[in-house]
Amino acid sequence: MAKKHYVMVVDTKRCIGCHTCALACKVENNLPDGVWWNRTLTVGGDEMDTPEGEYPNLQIGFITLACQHCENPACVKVCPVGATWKDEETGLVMQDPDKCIGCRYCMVACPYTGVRQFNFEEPQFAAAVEVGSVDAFNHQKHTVEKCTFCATRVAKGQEPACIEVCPARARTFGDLNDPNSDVSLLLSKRPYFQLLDEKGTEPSVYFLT
Amino acid sequence: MNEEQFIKSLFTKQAETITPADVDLWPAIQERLKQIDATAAAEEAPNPDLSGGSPSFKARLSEVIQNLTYSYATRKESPMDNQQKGSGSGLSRRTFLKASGAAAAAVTIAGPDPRTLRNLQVIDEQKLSASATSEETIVATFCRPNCNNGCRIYAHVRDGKVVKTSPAPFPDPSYNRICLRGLTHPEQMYSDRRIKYPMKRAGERGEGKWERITWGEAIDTIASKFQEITEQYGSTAVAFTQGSGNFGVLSATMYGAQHRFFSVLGSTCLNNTLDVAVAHGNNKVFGPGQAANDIADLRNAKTIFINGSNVTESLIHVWHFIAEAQEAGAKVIVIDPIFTTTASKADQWVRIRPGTDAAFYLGMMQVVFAEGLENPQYIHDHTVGPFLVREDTKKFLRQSDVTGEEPETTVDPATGAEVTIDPYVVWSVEDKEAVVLAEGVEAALTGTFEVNGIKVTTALDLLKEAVAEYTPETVEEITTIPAQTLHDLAVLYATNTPSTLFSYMGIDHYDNGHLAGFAQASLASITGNIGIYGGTINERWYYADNLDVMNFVFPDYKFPRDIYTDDLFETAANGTIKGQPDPIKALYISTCNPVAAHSDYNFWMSTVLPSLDFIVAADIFMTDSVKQADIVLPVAHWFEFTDMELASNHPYIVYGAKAVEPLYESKSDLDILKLLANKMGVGQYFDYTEDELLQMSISPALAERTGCSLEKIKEDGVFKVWYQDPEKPNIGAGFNGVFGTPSGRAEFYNENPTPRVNSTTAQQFDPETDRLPHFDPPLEVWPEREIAKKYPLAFFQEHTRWRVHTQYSEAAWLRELDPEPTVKMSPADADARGISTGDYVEIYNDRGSCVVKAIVSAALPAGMVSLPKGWLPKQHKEGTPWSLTHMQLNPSSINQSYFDVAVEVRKWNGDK
Amino acid sequence: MNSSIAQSRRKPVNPLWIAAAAVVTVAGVVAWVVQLTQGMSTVSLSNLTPWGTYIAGFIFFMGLSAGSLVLSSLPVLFDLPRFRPYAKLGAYIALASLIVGGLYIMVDIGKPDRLWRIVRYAHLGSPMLWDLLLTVAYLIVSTVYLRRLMQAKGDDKGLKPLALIVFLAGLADGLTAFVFATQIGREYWYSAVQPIAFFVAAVASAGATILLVMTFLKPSGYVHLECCDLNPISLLTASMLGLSLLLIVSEMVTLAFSRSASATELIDLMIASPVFWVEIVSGVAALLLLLIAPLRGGGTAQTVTSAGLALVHLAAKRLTFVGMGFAVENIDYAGVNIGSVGAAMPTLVEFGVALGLLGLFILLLTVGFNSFQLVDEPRG
Repeated sequence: MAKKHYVMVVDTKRCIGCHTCALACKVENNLPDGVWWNRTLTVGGDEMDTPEGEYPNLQIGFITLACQHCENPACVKVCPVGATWKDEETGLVMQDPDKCIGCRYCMVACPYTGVRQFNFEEPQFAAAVEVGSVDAFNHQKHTVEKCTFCATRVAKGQEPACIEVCPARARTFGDLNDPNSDVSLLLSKRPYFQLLDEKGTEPSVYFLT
Repeated sequence: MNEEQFIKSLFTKQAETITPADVDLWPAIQERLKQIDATAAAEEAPNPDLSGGSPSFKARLSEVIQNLTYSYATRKESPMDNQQKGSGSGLSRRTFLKASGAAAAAVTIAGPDPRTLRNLQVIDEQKLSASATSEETIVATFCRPNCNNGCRIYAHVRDGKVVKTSPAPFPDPSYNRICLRGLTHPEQMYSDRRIKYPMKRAGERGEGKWERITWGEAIDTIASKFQEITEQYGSTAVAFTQGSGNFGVLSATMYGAQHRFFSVLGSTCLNNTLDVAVAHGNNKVFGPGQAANDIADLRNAKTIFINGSNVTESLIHVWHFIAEAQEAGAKVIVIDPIFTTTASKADQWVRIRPGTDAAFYLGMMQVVFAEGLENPQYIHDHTVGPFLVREDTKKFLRQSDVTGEEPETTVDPATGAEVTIDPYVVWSVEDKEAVVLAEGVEAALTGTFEVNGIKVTTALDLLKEAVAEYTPETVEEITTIPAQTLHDLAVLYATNTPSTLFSYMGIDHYDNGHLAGFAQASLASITGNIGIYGGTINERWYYADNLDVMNFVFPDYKFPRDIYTDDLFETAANGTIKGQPDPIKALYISTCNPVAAHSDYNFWMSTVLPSLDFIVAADIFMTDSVKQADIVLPVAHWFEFTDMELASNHPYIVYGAKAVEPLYESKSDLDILKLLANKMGVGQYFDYTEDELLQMSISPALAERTGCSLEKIKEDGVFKVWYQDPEKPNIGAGFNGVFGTPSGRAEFYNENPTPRVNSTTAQQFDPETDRLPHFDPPLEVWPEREIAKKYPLAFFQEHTRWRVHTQYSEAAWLRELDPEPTVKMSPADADARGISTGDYVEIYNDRGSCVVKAIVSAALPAGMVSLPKGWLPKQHKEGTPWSLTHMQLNPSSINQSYFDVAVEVRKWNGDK
Repeated sequence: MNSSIAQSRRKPVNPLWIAAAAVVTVAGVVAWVVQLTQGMSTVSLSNLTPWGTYIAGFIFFMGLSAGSLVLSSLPVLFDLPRFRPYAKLGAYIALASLIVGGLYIMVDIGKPDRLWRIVRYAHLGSPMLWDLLLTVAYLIVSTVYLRRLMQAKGDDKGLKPLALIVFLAGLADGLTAFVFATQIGREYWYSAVQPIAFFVAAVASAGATILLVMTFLKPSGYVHLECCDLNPISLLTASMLGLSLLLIVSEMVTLAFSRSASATELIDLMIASPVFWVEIVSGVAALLLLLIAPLRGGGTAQTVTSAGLALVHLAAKRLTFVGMGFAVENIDYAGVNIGSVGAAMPTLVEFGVALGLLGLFILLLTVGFNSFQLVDEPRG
């Protein structure tokens, strides 16, 4: 059985920076207050939703930033206890909060600013109920957490929560090793970039341009 | 399949043969797998290999993944999943789990290395077993604020609580939708911000002191107060607000059950004079009703002009239709003062001065005529272009004018009204004389003639004459759009057809908003870009399309008395409406937050509220309006009762079943109405179940045309409202060239212009100013206005994704992303005032002020500030944006012009 | 042990010093308890600046340990009599700083109760694990070596093989550098110069510490040394400081030359950082003083000042090093606030914990001096 390489493809021409994917992630994974595994970033001015440049040469765009599930993950290499590891069968980079000792080395190693987040306190939850998936991540004080590509959903044959909600239909998920998957087709047809390509991490998130 | 085959299939490539039915074998299989795994574990000692897991174990897992997961292609645009079909009944989580049983089991019987199994399943096994026993039901319901989108969503219920929302499928998956706000419901529903029980005011109004009371006392108090006021002042002294906070049939105050209740009481309906200017302008040309085609029809357009709508922010579910059109080759042009994200996505962005959109469309028309790009055939066949306008009376020339005989009359059997039969007369090109408009007559489109001693000119000529002054150069002066750009845009619009003019509320809230609507409708008419696939104007807004209004809203021909905000202001100040004594003494506020979302906050607070003897507010949350009430009623959250969708921008009726019980002592609006109705002796109008009322609400016309019934709606959870073709997008005004105007044609010339409604302000209406498209400068945000010298900045209030009016303003997750009120201003304006991003600034004018955080954004033009709308007054450091606005309504559109507000901004130093 | 040394073996440190160090240490423990119970939000760290003062402390003390081992092994290995008196002292400082350095990691990690998992689930690929192994090696080596030194009689021949191991272990401070130098995500760290820079700084810190300790112990008669005996250490420390400063210049030049946006930003941030200027000024001043000292006969005040300045330089260097690793975000687009960039002022708790560990270090040294004779008479 062929190994899988799950990747996410985000169409930056479609993406409107609406944060719906970020919210879906927040809910599905029952993220604590202040924790955002998936963030919408404005590629533009210094503030969210502002453009760069001067009239009439203004530009604004968006990327969504979460764990890149790298093929060559910097985080996995440094974790002293193997609390973050790469699943060879699916390409997912996983994080085990039960194992994490909270050294934050993975956060230091990861070049993708802020995708790994540390619970600096006992996690607090704005919602009075445990929201999201019943399999939601076990958030723990003083441990690191991050996007899992919704591994528990993927295991059940669903897509990550951020995919199905995208109002712009800008997000696609699938197996890059399958030449007929949507992600493979998209990447064969459209120009794309990967974040911090030069770092050699071989991220599994592709941005169509 | 038996268990043997099932297990075998886990290890072979035949796993795809597993069907959901097979998972009933699960318990037995689990046992078998355990045995197998025990053997395997004996064979393979715990593997210290740091890459994790034993090879055979991993291989098995990957098999499971491979075969039981995920087919993106089938999901993406597949029609409704059979498994998820059905609304009220709900889908058990257990089913899901069973369907995914193989994966789950592989985990439960995990091998020695815990890391491998985690790639598939939950982190700890306890949780997994908990998930296997805890039931998750999925209830199809819908989100219902006034964002237009009317999302059908699933409420995921676990242990009696809504823990998640997700998009529920539509038959046309391009309408599948949910947004960041719709995802916040679990937090909102269970937040402490909910109003929990009925309360009565214990201190001064607005003081925030409450005393908890029983439902009995609340209902008794309201009923006796209403009766008291009715006895003293008449039933119209009791008023209710029309609000957009809940577009459920059984909840809405605009044509919903609440409207029905107050119709029965003969109360006063306070119409809110909001968001109606452009529609009024469109209706002047196309007649009443919906001008636009379905949003799905945007995909058929070759040219799309977006003007006054930041689609990517405030209509995010419309965006992908436009993106798809663009990807298919359509040209997307954005006309906006602000460089919005929508603008950034467009093929071309053109900056325009705020409040000058009418001039832009007039200029477009001027170019179209000057270049001969109009559609003469369409004008001849489907517009009033060939009609002859009398110079003396300004009316269309009719048969009676030519014959000199009194026109015949007849009685309309449907309405019982007397109808005059007096056909229009046109100038026959062939006969060179005025003839009655008839099939086959080639009418002159241009020319001035004398008929029976009456000087007449074609309406098209009058339109041409009216727009002639709006040359690209003149329009450049008004709008700042370069003349050449305007010219090119006009040519594009008229030649790269079909073209759609997609406008929304960004051009509406100016004093001249209706003129933009008037001009754009006229432009669409002369080019034939209306009523065709890909050619329309604005956004289709299904409002009560499914409703049997006469039966449901106005039972037994009982109507409320309509007044408008300006009327309310007059009676609040003097006790009169249009000069006649007409007091309003009680106000029932629900699905609405007038204090924080209507113009002229100061007058509301200083005059309107004090003029009321009794205020009832029914709401889910303690809004600023609720704070002013004498009696507060806790309303159930949307997912806590059954309802059906009344309004949205998709062509579907959506049924929403109750997902969970109302929390605390809250009740649905309908249940509150039932209590009140019984108490007030009109219980018979509400002596129905929810479904009975919903069935009653379905319009017979709809049922006849489409076969719609509540049963069918409930069967699929959705039902498509279609007009022309069930398989295609609905076409709005002008389908087959027929319009809902008196002439049945597009009337860019109004022979009988009337104000939108007959309110206090409408008394100042001058029909002579309203016959033809033209441009009037905005009231305040115009450089030549006196007030602009003192207050040079246009006060624009953008709709952002963070809120819908004031709804969601306290949603905790959204506040993490968008924590506090802000105003965006241009670098030039900020520099001139010494303001940097992050500074608190005071926005002020003679009427009021508010303090918010400044964000310097190059997206803004100099002379304009934009304040994201919808923060509650209490969320500001000081003041409220609505104190800056005014209630000067245009006598034609009777619409609040809260963008037509001049302000100044200065650094605020009041932060202690 | 010969008799003269036995005679001089008295308690050189006033018990008040020990008590003070113990109080500071206890205060540090209290601060740590606060940090553990109230959460690491009490420390000036964020998602974008996950490491700070503690890691700087860790680098400092690991460096001190390595440098001390090098200084301790040199005279034994290469028969350098002028360095020989510091062999035991070096080994003891190495041991003490190793314990403290390890504790800086302990206070830095979120789940100290899970520290054992580093052993249980050891992931050998992690440079942090290399560092852990290094720490264990240091611990064993320095303990054994110290013990052998204390037992040693006559010449050092028998010690040579062990000294070689100690020397190599000292050189291996470069491994600590690899914790940082391997990180592609951190432009400031990702440089092959780091192992050298770490080593240089390590030896400098050991030299400066020995200078300070010796000067401190001298009045008590614990050691019978003439001041000129410190000259070799002074010169060694000076040369290492000089190299350290040179490497900073080298780094700045290579960064500045690239003119890439991130490098320019780094340079700008460094120039704007007071800690960086403390590092430069104290480093240059210490270097000059150390070079001048032997020429002018070098009084106690001069030694203390120069050694103190050198340690300030080295502490500031470590703070700058850690801070600059996070000063520039690789992806700095505007979005939801998930934490601040760059080092903030240390919090009270952080100060408390860091000072407490420093107190522990002083406690270990002072108790050591009062318990053992750690300085040998110069030979010959």
